[in-house]
Amino acid sequence: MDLANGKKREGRRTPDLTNDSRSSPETDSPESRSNRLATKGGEHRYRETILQLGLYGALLILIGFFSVCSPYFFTVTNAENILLQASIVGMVAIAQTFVIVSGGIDLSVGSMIGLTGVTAGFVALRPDTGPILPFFAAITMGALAGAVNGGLIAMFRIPPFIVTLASLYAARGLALILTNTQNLYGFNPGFKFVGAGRIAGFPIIILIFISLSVIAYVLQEHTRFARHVYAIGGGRRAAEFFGVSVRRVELILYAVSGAVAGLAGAALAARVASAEPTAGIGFELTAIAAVIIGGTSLSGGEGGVQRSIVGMLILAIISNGLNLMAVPSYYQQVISAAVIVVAVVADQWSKARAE
Amino acid sequence: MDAVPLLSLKGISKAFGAVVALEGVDFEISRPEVVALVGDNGAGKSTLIKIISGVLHADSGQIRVEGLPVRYTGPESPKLLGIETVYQDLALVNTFDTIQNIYLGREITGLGGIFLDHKRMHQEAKKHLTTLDINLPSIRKKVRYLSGGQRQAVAISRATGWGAKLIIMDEPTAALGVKESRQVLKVVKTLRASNVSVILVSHNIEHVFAITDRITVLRHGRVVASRQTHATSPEEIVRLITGASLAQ
Ligand SMILES: Nc1ncnc2c1ncn2[C@@H]1O[C@H](COP(=O)(O)OP(=O)(O)OP(=O)(O)O)[C@@H](O)[C@H]1O
Ligand SMILES: [Mg+2]
Repeated sequence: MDLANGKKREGRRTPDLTNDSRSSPETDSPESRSNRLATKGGEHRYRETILQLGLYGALLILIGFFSVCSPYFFTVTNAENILLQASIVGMVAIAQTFVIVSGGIDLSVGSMIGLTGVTAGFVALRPDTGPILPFFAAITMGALAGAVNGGLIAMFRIPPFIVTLASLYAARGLALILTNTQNLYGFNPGFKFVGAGRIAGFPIIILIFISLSVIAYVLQEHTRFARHVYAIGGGRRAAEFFGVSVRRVELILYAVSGAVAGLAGAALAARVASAEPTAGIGFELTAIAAVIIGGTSLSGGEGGVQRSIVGMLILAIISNGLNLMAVPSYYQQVISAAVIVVAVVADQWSKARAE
Repeated sequence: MDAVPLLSLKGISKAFGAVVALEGVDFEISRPEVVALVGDNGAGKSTLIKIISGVLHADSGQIRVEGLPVRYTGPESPKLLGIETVYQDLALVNTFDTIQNIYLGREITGLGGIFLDHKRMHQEAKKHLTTLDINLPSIRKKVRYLSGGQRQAVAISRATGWGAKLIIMDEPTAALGVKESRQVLKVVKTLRASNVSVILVSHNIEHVFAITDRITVLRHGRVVASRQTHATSPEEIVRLITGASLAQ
């Protein structure tokens, strides 16, 4: 392979250097050796495949089950309902997937939806701002707040859980302060059209969600950036040692997560034609649940947005189907919990080491 | 062999507080040459290797690469000079397959450096593995599902994929079975045949004799001997390692 690059020659000319043992590699620990030896390849690969098929199988079984149980379930209108319901949280679940794949977590996205929603709302109150400007403002606000998360995580090495837990409170508080706890409504028609309108017969919100899904999937599979996100989650030290700029990747990751929360926040405000400082409470947990149900491991390095989207659909279908069957919502919560447990147990099973 | 050694160390010393790990070590390797570093536990082998690979900084002494004196800023520096190190644990991202590991941090991209060129990486990796005569069940399998020997082979192929002149391996066969070790030793031979030098740390005298040109023995942080492999015997090397020969 001829992969020698210009840097190689450059290094020769600047040989005056001081030592840096930051990425000092640990030599072989007996533990990891035996772990490695205990792994039995074939069977696990096979288990992973079963798990993947199981996810899509579960989706189909749920669709079949509710179709039998309720005559209203398997209809175009209801499919649209389910997708609408899944869209807003689905957006943040997509961004959350990358964060979790990197070994992190973003607990602040629910509050960010509130903060960015009111940001969009303030802009959309003006009659001349149209649909684009409020969205732009919300996405910018989300990206900035996300960059603060990312900055704290990457530069100061504060655990993502702690940083984003703090900003969960900070963003919510800010949203309440900015609005003086009042809801905003009376938006310009262009903005409201994004929430309620259709293009070629499809609700715009759903189209945004589908577009975001496709873009995210393409980025995931085909960019160097995404490759590095997986590398950080799968082996942070190895990634660092191989020259992946871990901090840069993390900073961008959380900024993007915030930006997508901005998109979701504006979309939600447009959809309900009201920007509420309390909007999005708990959405971060639903998004994380969708990611976990999809089989993306919280330990990082594995998973993908396609799986989280299926996870999100599973959650939305359960909620919708049980509604149609008039099952009270508190039962739905217990059932959703059971689904999460099943998903995690299945994930553990697929990864369990053969001793 | 070139007249100027590929790498030469002169008077390398390193202490960790009161512990003197290396004292006035001289070491040379030509191109291509396979040199074993042997010695008892704590003799200073790993320390020496870490100094060569830029992970540790020597207290004193000089490093020359192809005759030119160099000073490292860190592990990146020797890489830029064509010196790559295979570490057993840091070597790989377990959730990545062989190709992804080989190209991590230096992915081939098209379209403005953003989008990956999967096809080219696949082809080049395959070609490279063939050159090294490495057989893997599937280069699409996550490396955590590979055997120890296969993982070692992947780590070596990653290190060698970039026009490296010298590969350093710290106990590459330590955790491996007989068959797996043989695979790694075969790769070392192939590397030598393609004009790449190898420094190999090993406690396995049999492996050392099977593939090296020269054996350098460290004891208590000093080089006590450096012998052409064909001109010595396992018995002599063991005596040198344990220090018995000094008493003779
Ligand atoms: N980071 C460190 N801090 C303090 N002492 C160290 C450190 N690294 C090595 N040493 C000491 O330096 C000496 C040489 O260690 P080194 O790891 O180089 O030996 P080695 O020849 O690789 O041994 P082994 O065969 O057991 O791997 C030992 O006495 C060791 O305890
Ligand atoms: Mg050692």
